[in-house]
Amino acid sequence: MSKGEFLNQLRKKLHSLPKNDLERIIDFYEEMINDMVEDGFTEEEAIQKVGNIDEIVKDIQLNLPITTLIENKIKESHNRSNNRLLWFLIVILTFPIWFSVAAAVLSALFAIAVSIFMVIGGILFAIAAVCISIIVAFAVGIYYSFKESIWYGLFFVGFSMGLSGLLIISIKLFKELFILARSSTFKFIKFIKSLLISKEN
Amino acid sequence: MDIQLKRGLLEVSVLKALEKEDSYGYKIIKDISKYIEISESTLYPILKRLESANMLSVYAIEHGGRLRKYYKINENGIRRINEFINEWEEVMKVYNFIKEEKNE
Repeated sequence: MSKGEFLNQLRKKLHSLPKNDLERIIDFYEEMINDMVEDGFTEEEAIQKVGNIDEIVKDIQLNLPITTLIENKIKESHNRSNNRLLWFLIVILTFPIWFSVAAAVLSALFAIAVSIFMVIGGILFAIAAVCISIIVAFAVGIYYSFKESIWYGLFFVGFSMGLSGLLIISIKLFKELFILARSSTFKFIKFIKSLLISKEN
Repeated sequence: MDIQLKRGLLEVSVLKALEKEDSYGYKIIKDISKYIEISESTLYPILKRLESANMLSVYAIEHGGRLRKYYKINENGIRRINEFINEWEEVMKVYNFIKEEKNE
């Protein structure tokens, strides 16, 4: 395969990308091949080294934001259908269906976002409340050990210590849970992206 | 090697290569392949990611009748390198511990 053929094939496979991104990618690989040839490789060898076109395309698509992938998928199915007018009519006629589904999905996503905020807010509030209790218990303890008996005061001080310990443990726990939730979300998004990609190629 | 781990290492390696001097695609690959396995196709997404994270910037210089893209590291990129070094001080401690010979 010649450099020109390679770049044309690459360009074809990436046709759904915005012109800007497409040109940048083509430029990148053209430059890479040119540099390798300058370094002493033949065009054939350079193209071998640059890698498999399908792999390159897949890698690029995996790194596109998920919204772009969905847009591309929609554009693909639009271009495939020969009868644009028919497609247009179908979209209008089925409006009640897809619109309500879209509205439902959006509301669900919004509800999820709101509940995440609530949970985070709740946790922060609880932590604040516990911190205040710790401080109050400690202060009460000191006060009581002077005012009443030292044993009485010591109880409150001990209590505040215990509470601090529990707080530290639960903060660590929540941190772990948060990290786990975040990486699961990313893995999930990657999975969805790969579903959108594999059919195209 | 774990994919995520490798990706992170590659990103910082690219940044390091740029810390020494501004560089271009092919040269970056040559410089870091001594230390970590990287292919020409993996580099593009990495450079793109680093650019969106504002850790490097791009400019072009004419070379032999064509334009060659040069990459230049930013403040954020340098910060990332230092972050990496600090993070891995801890990793090295654990590594040395695990590598230790048993003392009978």
